[in-house]
Parts: sequence; structure tokens; C-alpha cells
Amino acid sequence: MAVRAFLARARRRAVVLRAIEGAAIGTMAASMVRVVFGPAFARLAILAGLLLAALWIVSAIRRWRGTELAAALERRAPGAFRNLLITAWELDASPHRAMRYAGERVCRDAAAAAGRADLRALIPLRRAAVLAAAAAVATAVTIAVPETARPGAAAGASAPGISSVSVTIVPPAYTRLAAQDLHDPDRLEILAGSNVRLVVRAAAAAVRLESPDLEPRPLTPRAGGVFEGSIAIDRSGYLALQAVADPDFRLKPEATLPWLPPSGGSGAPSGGSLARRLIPVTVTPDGPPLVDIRAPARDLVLPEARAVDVHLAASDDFGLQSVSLRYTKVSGSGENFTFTEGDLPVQISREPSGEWRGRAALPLTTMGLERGDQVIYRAAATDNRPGAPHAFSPSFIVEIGRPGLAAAEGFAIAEEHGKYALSQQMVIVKTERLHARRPGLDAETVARETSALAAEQRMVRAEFVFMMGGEFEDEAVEAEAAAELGEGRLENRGQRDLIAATRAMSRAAGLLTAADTAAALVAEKEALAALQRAFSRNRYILRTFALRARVDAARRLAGDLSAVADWRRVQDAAVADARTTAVQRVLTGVASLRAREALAADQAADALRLAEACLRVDASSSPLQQAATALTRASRAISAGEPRASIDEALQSAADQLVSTARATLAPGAGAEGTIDLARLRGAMAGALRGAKR
Amino acid sequence: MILRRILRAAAILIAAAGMVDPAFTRNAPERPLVAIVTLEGPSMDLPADGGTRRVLAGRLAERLTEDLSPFARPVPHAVPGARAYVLIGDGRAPSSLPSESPVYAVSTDSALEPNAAIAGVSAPARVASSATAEVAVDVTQLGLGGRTSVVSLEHRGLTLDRVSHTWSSETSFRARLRFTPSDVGLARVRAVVSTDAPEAALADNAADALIEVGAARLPVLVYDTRPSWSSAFVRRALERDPRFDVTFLSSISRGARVRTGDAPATLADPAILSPFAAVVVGAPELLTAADVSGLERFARVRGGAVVLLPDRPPQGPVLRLIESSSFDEVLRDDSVVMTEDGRLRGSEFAIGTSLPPGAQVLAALPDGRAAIWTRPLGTGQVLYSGVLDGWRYRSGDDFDRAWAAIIGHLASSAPPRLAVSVSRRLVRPGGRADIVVTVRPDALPASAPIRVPPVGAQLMGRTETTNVRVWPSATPGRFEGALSAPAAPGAYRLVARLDEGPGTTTEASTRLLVADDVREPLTTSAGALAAIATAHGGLSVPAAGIDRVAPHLRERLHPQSVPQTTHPMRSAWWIVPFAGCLGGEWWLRRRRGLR
Repeated sequence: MAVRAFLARARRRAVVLRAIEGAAIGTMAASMVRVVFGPAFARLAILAGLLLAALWIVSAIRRWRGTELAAALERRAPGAFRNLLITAWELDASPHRAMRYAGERVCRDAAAAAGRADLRALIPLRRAAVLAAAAAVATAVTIAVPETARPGAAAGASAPGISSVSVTIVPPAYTRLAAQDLHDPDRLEILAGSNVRLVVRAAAAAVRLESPDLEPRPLTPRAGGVFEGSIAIDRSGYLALQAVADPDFRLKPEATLPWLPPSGGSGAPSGGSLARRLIPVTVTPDGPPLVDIRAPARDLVLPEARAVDVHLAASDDFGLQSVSLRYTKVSGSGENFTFTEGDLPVQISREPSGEWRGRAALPLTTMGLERGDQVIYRAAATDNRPGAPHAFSPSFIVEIGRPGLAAAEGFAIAEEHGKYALSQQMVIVKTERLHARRPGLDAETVARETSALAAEQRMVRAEFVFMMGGEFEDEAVEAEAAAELGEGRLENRGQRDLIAATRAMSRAAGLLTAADTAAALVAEKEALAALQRAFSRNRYILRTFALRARVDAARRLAGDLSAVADWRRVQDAAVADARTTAVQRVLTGVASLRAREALAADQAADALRLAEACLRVDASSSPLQQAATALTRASRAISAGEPRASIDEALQSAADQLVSTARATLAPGAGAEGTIDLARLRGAMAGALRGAKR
Repeated sequence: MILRRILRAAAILIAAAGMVDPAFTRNAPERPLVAIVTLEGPSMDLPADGGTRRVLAGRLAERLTEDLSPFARPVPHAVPGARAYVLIGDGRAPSSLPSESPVYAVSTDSALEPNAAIAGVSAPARVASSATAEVAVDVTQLGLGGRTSVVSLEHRGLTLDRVSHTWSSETSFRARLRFTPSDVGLARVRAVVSTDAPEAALADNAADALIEVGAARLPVLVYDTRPSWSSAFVRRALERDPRFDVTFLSSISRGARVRTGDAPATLADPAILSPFAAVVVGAPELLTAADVSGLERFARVRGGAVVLLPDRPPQGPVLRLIESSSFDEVLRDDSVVMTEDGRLRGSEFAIGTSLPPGAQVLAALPDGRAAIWTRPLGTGQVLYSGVLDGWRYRSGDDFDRAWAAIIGHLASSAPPRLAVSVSRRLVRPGGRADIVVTVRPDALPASAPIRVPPVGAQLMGRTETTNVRVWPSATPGRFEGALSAPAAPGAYRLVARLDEGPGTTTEASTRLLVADDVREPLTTSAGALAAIATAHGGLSVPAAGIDRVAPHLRERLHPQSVPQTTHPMRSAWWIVPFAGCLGGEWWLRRRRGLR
């Protein structure tokens, strides 16, 4: 029968069509599985493709037979068959369902319609064939092209990875230092203001650069799986490079160390440490210039104004830009002082070592200085760093016409000035000790030791006398009447107190020579009291003497107490130091890793996150940087499947640094507690000893 | 006929005698019972004589059994009625050894040379997470002169601290290691000693200790009779330290005080002071006699620490606590370092001319005079600081850390109202540990006789709770007991409760860890065992001297004539004559045609 033959041909064509479609679908499915799960799942991809293709073909074969096939052909060409095809098929199967003549008519018309029908149009194969060919080409491309050559192809990959990192450190231009190239560095040590250029080779859709001071940003992709970027660095910290399969990649927090915050809005990739690279960065700031005054390099008290030559020297690690001499003129007295500032030119000579040596003259004669006025001067220098502040040398003072120094030719106040007043205390202390030991000493020993003390007392006195410019016949009268005193009556009193001190010292020395230690002590303490009074009133000496401020006990509790009331202060409970707590938590993480029997890719990511946590705590801390480096090493060792011993060594190295950091701030706690029985025993023993003593 | 009656009568007699069960007592010689106890101390795993000490002890026990059998009845464990005890090996002696029974100690110890061993680990039970803790490790050596041993402290596989020591002629060394806590909870630390030379045994090179991280805050009262820099800066140091709960009162003027919390207005009442572990007094020269009495009782009875921080030479009633009536005022022209770690400095001092008995110097002048010292006073302590201007030298945080450490140590030494301690906090399943519960004296009712409130203890695990019986000892407020570690490894909490009345219960607790792999110091108790043997009139011999035990015992133990009671009718053999009589009587009846 013609209709049956037509349907048989149609079915064969439909099977061919579905077979082509199944092949296309299977190929596409296999390609997708490989892309999603990686080359390691190639067999799974083939299996999935075959399975899908088979399912598709079987379903088509089962569906495209008999009535269903006729109905499908009717749907594809309703005007051509007008329901004849399906009716003829049913009558062929069940001839008694219609009158004979009607059945013959239907079959005849259906055969005619089938004869006119074009199966190639009803069941086209070309589109399916093209689709299958395209799928095959895509699959071939997926398999044939290597991962690293396809930045975009990794979008579906699950294990992005960084294969290498090249770093070029470009120091600031003013340093004139050459750029430095590093390959896969463990850490970077750079000068502040340097620019770091990164070239990353990675199998990933994108590589993101993270730093504590910056929002994460993508590196620029280049051909061949290369990503580039640069960053200017001023502070110690770290650079984290994150290879991601999806530029919008967001990761869930890690389960094994849930207390660690996700880094930079994302955690570590599931693919292990190769997808993330952490590089600690230590920044060395450009040091300020070193500038010093070489001559006269001491304070001067001049009887009258004259020019003073100042010699200075300056140096810098990357070169100097300028050196000058700055001065401040202080004139006036009492509470009325005027300050005038200015710069003086310096004659510079440059040494081969890079040091600058300068010479300047302090024109004291043209400054209009009067007796008691001071000039404070210091050298200033700048280096080539843009915006760098001045560096200064120590300041020195030139004072004009200090009372009592008229005869001195530029008397310099010695650096060890402070020791004179304190030496008087030492004389007292030694005399007290001798006085206490005296009952047990023979007369000869006492005489010898008191003579030595007398000599010391005279030496101390001599220093003060020298400081004041020599002895006066009547020091008190001279000091009181000195009209040229520039610092007013207080200074006058200070001078008088100094004189009183030297006189008391003279008396003490005499008493010591006579071996009268008790009386000598009185005189010595009188001298000390006079010195303290003098120093507390002298404006100039106050600069160099740290005085012990004493509360005037007589004024205590002498006020009006009618409004006095109790006050309850609210004291917040102290909390543990946050930095130390963070270090302790990292240490906990390291211990967790160390305690694990088996280490896998997740632990490699954990180690990397711990390294990052170290640097987040304090990136400028050298121990924490070393801990981060060690943890990064541990992460790589875990990823590379290195022996456990090398991993443990890296973890221990990190722990050493973390422990030392934590211990520096943790309170030193006690050892094992004693028992109450032991305390009782000690108390009883002490009581018994006390009783026996009595 | 007659025979038949005789047989019947005999059978009846046997049955009747059996029912009566007559007893006969007579004196008879008996071989003495000797208990041979093999001890199971931790050192029994050490090598000896080609095997372990445990194996050697077994062999010695077998041999002694053979030697004793001719004249004694040896039994392999401690039994009541034993006439003598032989303790072989090393370990804890049986708790009840009759004083009249001779005890023999056979030591399996052998000198391990060259060898370094951990003899003890001493660690605090608790430490705050904001502080480190000192773990003292006692190490002994034999034959390692000139070699270097490294003692390290490990936690979860990480080495937290290490100390190296080169041996000369000394045989012991105490390593002080720092435990750095990283997390709150139980920390099991392990002390390990390793030497740059092969050792005879390695089993004794490690020992564990348990530290609970996360201690409660230490309550400290700072009481200034007037504003004083000496105490102010110490108080600030304590207030910044999370280990302390500081309550403060300062009399700033007449009738005006600054205070925090519920600071008491006076120190005269020791009951008000009892919640505090330490009282820091600024300007103590203004303390009244009543204040000083209160502080004295606070130290003596409560066991608290009194810290005196004068800023001028002390005078007045407080001298009673210092026990020095005169002071040398030392004024130096430069500050001097007073402690080894250099944390405390000063230049003005008030040094007592004499030190109280039992005083312990914490800081001294270069000439050796004590600047800061503590002395025991009853159960508590008194600290006197003669550094009048130490607050002026607060470079960095040295001043704060030093004073926080000193006062922290004193305050943590003050006993709580109820304390529970356990001899071993790391035990193997089934291991035994002694426990002591102590009620502080001031918590006991002031009655005569002293009526100690009920005290109980429980060992609480995750799922099960076991009651632990504690018995009062001769010291009022002290209770003793023992516990057997549960079979299930894990962390346990030993809780003691003091029932002070309706609704008033005081609790104290400590933590235990039960684990299979506990490493303990393999210390030998040979000395103690030898002392026990000597005290009981026995012998203490090494393994090689086992031959001396049996002859000595034969001399000491003579067969005793002991009354022996026999029950002849209890012999099963009576069934034979009984059945024979009945059978014979039946046979005779049958022969005569009777039934």
C-alpha cells in the first residue's frame, strides 16, 4: 500500500533527523561538561553526550511511528493531506471501521497526496546537519585550544590559577634608582612612593588585585593569559592577586575557619592556593636628611656681640636639595619677649661621599642685641622628595652679656651641666653612708674617707664657681647690686642662691676635713637647697635642668569645702587588646591546620587567608610579615603536595612569629597557684619565726 | 534382722548428723599469708633488663611466689589478713597497709644512662586569655654532662616556647616556659625534652599538663586615704588590664570621696573586704588603727593580699603590717633598675631597716636592700613597696606590666570562698585522682564547735554526672576524696558545692580531661616505697636483691597455731556410707521377701 510505504520512508527520514539532532545535542552536552568541570572530566563529558544523544533518538523513534507519525506529517502540511494520511493509516489498521467504498476512496486520495508530498520538505535534514557540524566544531575548539590561551574560555572553568607573577619595582624618580625586576617574589621590600608593575600569567577570566588600602580592581587582560597592572605603594601591606573564572565572582565564606572575614569581599577560591597569590610588602620610608652643627656645637655666653662662625654638615640617603641656617632672636626681659626669625645663607661644599658641608656667620653685631638677649640657631635641610618637610639640627644658644660673666672669653656651658647639682646629692649620699658606718670604723679610716669626701665637695664647688665666672669678694652684695642683670630680680636671686650654695659647700668641705660628718651633712644639704632654689628661678638653667615639682602641702585641704561632694566615677571594664586578640585568633587557625591529619586544597586556602589576616592585623610589623610569608609558603607546600614535614616547618615558623608578637603585649601571668594549705604553712612559719625573734 | 536394723539406724544417724552439722574446733599450725603486689606506676613502661619494668616485676613476682611457697601462702594482690606485703615495682602503694605487717619493697628501677627525663610539670589551672602563663618543667639527667637538652612546650603540635640547657655536673634543671593562649577553653600542653645525644629511654621525655584558658576577673580594691601618685598609676595599670575588676575609693578632701562601684568607705570591716582578693592602699600612713586591724584580718583569715604603696616613709598604725619602725630614705641621682627584667625603676626609696620574717624580696636596690617585698601573714600576704617615685619611670608599658603581674600573682593566690583541686587533671580512663575541697576559714560559721556546712562534689561529663564522696579531714573546712576517671574520654568538670543555708549555695569547679594518650612524668616512687618498707620493719631491695626477701620473711613469719573449725558432716563422701546403709538394708529386706 502506497500510504504505508510513504510512512515507512518518512519514519526512516525522521530517524535520521533525530540521530543528527541527538549527535548535536550530545556533542554540545559533552562540550559543556568538559568546560564546566575541566579536562579531568573528559570521560564524563563523553558519557553524558552519548547518553543524551541516545535518549533523544530513542524518544524520537518511539514517538514517530504509526498514528503519531501520520499526525506529525499532517501537522507539517495540513493543506496537502487534509487528514487523509492519518485516516488512511487508521483504516489500514482497522478496515471494518468504515464502509468499503469510503475506505478505498480515502486510501486512494491519501496515496495521491502522498505521491505529491516531498519528504525532504516535510522532514528537512540540512538544518540539523549544520547544527551538528557547528557543535562538533565548537567541541573541537574546546578540546584543542589550551586553557591558558583563552582568557575568555576560562569563564566556565572551575579551577582558575596563577602560574607566575613578575614584578617590576620602579623607585621614585628623585631617587634615581634603577628599576628592579623580580619573578615570583615571596615578599617585596620597596622604597615609599615606588610604583609596582605586575605581570601575571593566569588561566582565568580575570585577575583581581587587592591591597589593604585599595578597593579590589581587575588587572588589564592581554593576549595569552597575561594580565597587567600597576600600583603605587606608600605603606607596608600586601598585594593579593586573585584569579577568578568569573569577573563577578563572589565566594562563600570558608567553612573551616569561619571566624576569618572574607578577604576583599571574597574568600579564597575553591580551586586552592594557586588561584590566589599573596605578596607581603615592606615599605621603607625615605629617611629625612641628617643635619648637624659641627662648630661651635655648644651654647655660648658672650660678653658682647661678635660674629660667630657656624660650621655644619648634612647628608641624605638620596641626595640633598637645600641647606640653610635658621635663627631666632629673643630679646626682652621678664614677661615681655620679642622673637625675630630669619635665615642665613650658607656656603656649601659638596664632598665626594655626598655629604654637604656648610659655613655661615651669625652676624650678632648687626642684630641689635642687648645684654641678656639670646640667639637660638639651627641648621635646616631638605632632600629631593617632593613635599618633604625640613629636617633640623639640634639648636644652640648664644647669650649676650650674662651677668657675672664679663671677664670670661666666651664661656661655654658644658654638656654635663646637670651633673653638678646632682653631684652635690652624691656628696650628701656618700656622707650619710659614711656617717652611718662611722661607729664601726677606726679614726684613721674616718679621716681618710672624710678627706676624700672633702675633696669631692671642693670639686663640685669649683665647678659652680667656674660656671659663675669666679669668686667675688662679697658675692651677695655684688649680685644684688648688679645693674646689668637682664633677667630681673628673679635672676638676681638665682645668682645669690648660687653664691649661697658655693659658700655652704665651702663650709661643708671644711667640716669634712675636720671629720665632722654630722655638721658637714647640714652644710651639704643647705648647699643643695640653695642650688635647687637657684635653678628653679633661672630661665636659662631651667632649659637644661629637670626640676622635681613638689606639691605645696600647706595649701592642701585649705579651700572652701561647702560645695564638695562625693563623686562616683563610672569605670568601663577593660577589654583585651584588639590587635593581640587578632594575633591569637590567627595562631588558633595555625594550630588548627597543624593539628589536622590530612591537608587538602581547602587548607591551602585557609593558610593563605591566615597569611592575609596577619597582614591585616599590622602590615608594618616585621614578625607578622614573616608569619604571613611562612603561611604563604605553607599554602604553596600544601597545594604542591609537598611532604608534611615541610608544611609543618612553615606552620611552626609562622607560629613562632605570632607567639612572639602576642607575648609582647600579653600580661605575664603567674605560674602554678599555691594551695591554701601552703599559704597557711608559710604564714605559720613566719609567725613562728616572728615569735622566736621576740 | 539385726543387721538390717543396724544399717537402717546408721543411715538415720548419718542423715540426722548431716542436718545437725556439728562443728569441731582445734588448734593447728598454718602457713602465713603473704600478699605480693605488683605496682602499676607510670614508670613501669621504662626499659629494664631487656624488657620493661612491668615485665621484670612479673618475673620477680613469679620467682618470689616459688620461694615463699614452702613456708607461706603467697597471693598476687593485697588481701585482708595478709601477714606481710611485698611491693614489687614502682607506683602508688596500697592505701591500707596494716602497721603490724612487715612491708617489703622490691624496686625495679635501673639507672638509665645516658638519659634525660621530665620529672614534673607545674602549670596553673587557669589563665586569662589576655595573659601568658608560666609552665615550670623539671628535668633530670644522668650521663649527659656537656650535652645540651632543649625543653619545649607544645600545644596542638605547635611549639610555643623552648629553653635550652647545657648540662654540667648538675642532675636536675627547672625550665620556665611561657604558655601563650590562643583560644578560650581547655588547652592540653605537652612538655618535651630532647637532647643532642642518644638516650637510654624516650618514654620519659614528654609529659602533659592541662590549662583552662579564660579565668574570671580578679576583684581588687584600691583604697587611697588621700590622692597619691604611687597608687594612682598602679590603679590605672590594673584598670587597663582585663584580668582585673577594680573597685576604687579615694578620699580627695574632708568628707569628699571619689569611688567606683561599691567601694567600702572603711577598711575596718573584714567582712566587707572579703569579696576582694587584694586591697591596694595608697598613702597608707593615714590608715587608722581600725583600718589596719581590718586589713590584718583580711590577710590572716580571708587569705587576701594587702598591697601598701606609700609615697613617703610610712608611719602610724600601718607599721604593724610592715613590721619595721624605721626607714632609710634613699635618694639617688639617677633611677635604678630594681628587677631582673628591668621593668621597675625608681630613685626615691623608703627602705625598712629590717625585713619581716619570711619576707620574699621582689625588687631590690643595687646594694641588695629590699625595695619591694612580700611577707606571709596568716593565710594571706602583705606587700610593701618602698619605691616612692616608681610611677615617674613609666617608659613604655613596663611599669603597668610589672605591677599588673605582681598584683595579679598576689590576687590569684588569694583562696576563693570554696576551692576544689584534684591531684591529676589529665587522667587515663579508669585512672585514680585525689580531690581536696577547701572551705575558706572566714566562710565557716563562727561557732564552737565549728559546724561545717554540707559539702558535696560531682563529676559532670557531657551526658552523665557522678557523685564523688568527700570526707572531712582533721582541718576544719578541708574535705578529701578520690575519684576514678570515667571510661569515656573527654572533658569533665568536677564541681564542689557548699550548702550555706536555704538558697545559698557556693560552687567551685575545676576541669579534668580523660584521654587515652596522656603522658605523665615517669617519676619513680622508689624513695617513698623504701621509706614505707623501713617504717613497717621490712626490707627495701633492688631487683637483684630479691633473694633476700624470702629468707627474711621466713625469719619474720613463723607458722602460727590457729584455731581451726571443721564441719565433718559437710563432706560429700558421707553420701557413700549413707547410700550403702540404705542399699544394704533394702537388699536384706528383699532377700527376706519383704518390700
